[in-house]
Amino acid sequence: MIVAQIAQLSTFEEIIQLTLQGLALGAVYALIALGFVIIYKATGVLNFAHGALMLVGVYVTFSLVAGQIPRVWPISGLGQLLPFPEWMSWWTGLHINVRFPISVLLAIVFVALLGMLIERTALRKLVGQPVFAVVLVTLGLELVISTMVQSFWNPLQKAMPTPFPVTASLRIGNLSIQWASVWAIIVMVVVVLGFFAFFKYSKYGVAMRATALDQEAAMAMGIKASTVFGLAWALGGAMAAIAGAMFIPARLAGFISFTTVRFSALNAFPAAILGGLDSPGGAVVGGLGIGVAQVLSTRYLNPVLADLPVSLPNFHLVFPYVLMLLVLLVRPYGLFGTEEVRRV
Amino acid sequence: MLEVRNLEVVYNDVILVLRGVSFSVPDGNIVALLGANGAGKTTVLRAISGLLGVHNGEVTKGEVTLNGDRIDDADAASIVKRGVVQVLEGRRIFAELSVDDNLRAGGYTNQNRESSDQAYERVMTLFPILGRRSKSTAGYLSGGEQQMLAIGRALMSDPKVLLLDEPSLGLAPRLVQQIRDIIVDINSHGTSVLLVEQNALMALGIADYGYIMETGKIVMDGESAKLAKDADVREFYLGLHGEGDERKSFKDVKHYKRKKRWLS
Ligand SMILES: Nc1ncnc2c1ncn2[C@@H]1O[C@H](COP(=O)(O)OP(=O)(O)O)[C@@H](O)[C@H]1O
Ligand SMILES: [Mg+2]
Repeated sequence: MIVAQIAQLSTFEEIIQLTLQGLALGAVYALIALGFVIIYKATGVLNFAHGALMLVGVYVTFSLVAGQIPRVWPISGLGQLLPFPEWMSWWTGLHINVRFPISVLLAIVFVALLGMLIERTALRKLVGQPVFAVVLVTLGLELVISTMVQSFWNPLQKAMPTPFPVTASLRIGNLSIQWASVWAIIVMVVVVLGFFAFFKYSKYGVAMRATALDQEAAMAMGIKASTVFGLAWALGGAMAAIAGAMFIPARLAGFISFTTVRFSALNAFPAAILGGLDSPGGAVVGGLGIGVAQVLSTRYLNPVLADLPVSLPNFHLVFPYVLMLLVLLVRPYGLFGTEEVRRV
Repeated sequence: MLEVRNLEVVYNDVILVLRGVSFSVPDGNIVALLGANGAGKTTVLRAISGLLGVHNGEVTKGEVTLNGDRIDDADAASIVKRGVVQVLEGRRIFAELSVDDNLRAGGYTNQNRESSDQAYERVMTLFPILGRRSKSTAGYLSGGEQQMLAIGRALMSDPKVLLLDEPSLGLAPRLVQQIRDIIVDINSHGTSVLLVEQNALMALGIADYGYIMETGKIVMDGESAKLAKDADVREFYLGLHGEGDERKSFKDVKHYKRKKRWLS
């Protein structure tokens, strides 16, 4: 749901404005991609269920904010949502500016724990198994988690309040950008900087990097692989949940559609791959780049391609993958991926 | 004192690699563990440091004790915390990390701020070059510097027992000399050393006691001075021939060839 007010702007202004919107969308991709890369780097697992973690984050956030929890048992064909119990009415009475951030924090914790649980139960035993086997497992997990979300919360569109009304925009001259987008970008910058500081300076960050490079040597230093794996999945899960929480107001205007969330989250994979699978910085750049490219292509490429004899009216949906392929043709390791540092 | 008793190790559930190995490393000693390639020296170190699991190996018999407490069922992290740390064969520094980050990784288990600062100072004193190159990417250090970093990194955990796996491997004679002096220096500050080497000359030169392994067993042991004098050891591990050795019996030559093959 791209709400663009592109009335009386010059082409240049329009590009700037769309770029800002693209950055907001890219901020979401960047955080999912960053989590994906962290997990890959630290544990060697290509977690194709990462988008599903964002999906869970979105729905848990919805449940908490809207005060509607899925009936887990007995589950009927179409998942049923129950209102919060009476004694929780104080919660739903809270101002949305308080309820939303608290809900997001809880969703972050929930998805982080879910990530750790997945690692512990489904993937720990697969250490050392062929990449192919692990990929199949995570693809399977994506299906399982998505299906569970859909059946718990039912596939109908949901609406929830957010602290960002659709009409609330920041105006700079002729340009206007929604506050939800501004916040998405700010949150992304803060999370990314926080993560890089952690990764670079904290003891656990060093342990993660060491384990990523040589697990046995790290173990010989007393670094537990299980700690590092759990931490990577918790961080990845937390980032997916944050991405989901930003996605709701910035791109969905509070209207949650299962298919939109699920397939938008998938765009983070081309973002991570074109940035370089083992490069956290690359994931961020790739995510932002793909967000911008997608918004710009919606505006400028779609109309052109729709007029072709073979009409491609929704080209922006596949554009991330086209970009990824183009980048990989030139740089097989992605923009910032490394082959290996060797002594020369 | 680190003690290994009657140790038996199996890889992949079937490959029996250690067949009843026993030895001890008394506090404050340097003990050399010698033997040809494939004898099982690295496996012994893995069994002590809890790294067999990574290689799908398992202790099937015997025990490893540190000051009387069994450590063969402990995980690698708790063994490091108890003060036994292994420097892996081939240095295995974290090539893409800076020298300082390598050292910080080594100090991971060192909870106490003060003692990790002390350990860092000690490493800087032992290896001034690491201080000068603290911000460089470790992968770009020279071979000798990388070995120093590997040893320095292990020292960051402030170990009581240091397990060194072929620290002289691939180093020029001048650097071997330097590593040798460093081991002596580390030991003189109270750290016991179990030194695995193919360079028997260097190892016996600084060790108090030596053990010689062949195909998963200790075949000879003794004070290193005595071992160094032993004719067989001189011939097979030190590559030296005593006077009057020219006329060997055919049997001896064959024996020699057999050993020689293991050495290659
Ligand atoms: N991970 C492993 N799986 C199976 N066999 C192994 C493994 N590691 C070592 N071995 C075998 O165990 C024997 C001893 O190896 P090792 O301990 O590395 O000897 P050394 O360090 O003395 O050269 C060798 O025959 C080697 O092939
Ligand atoms: Mg070896």
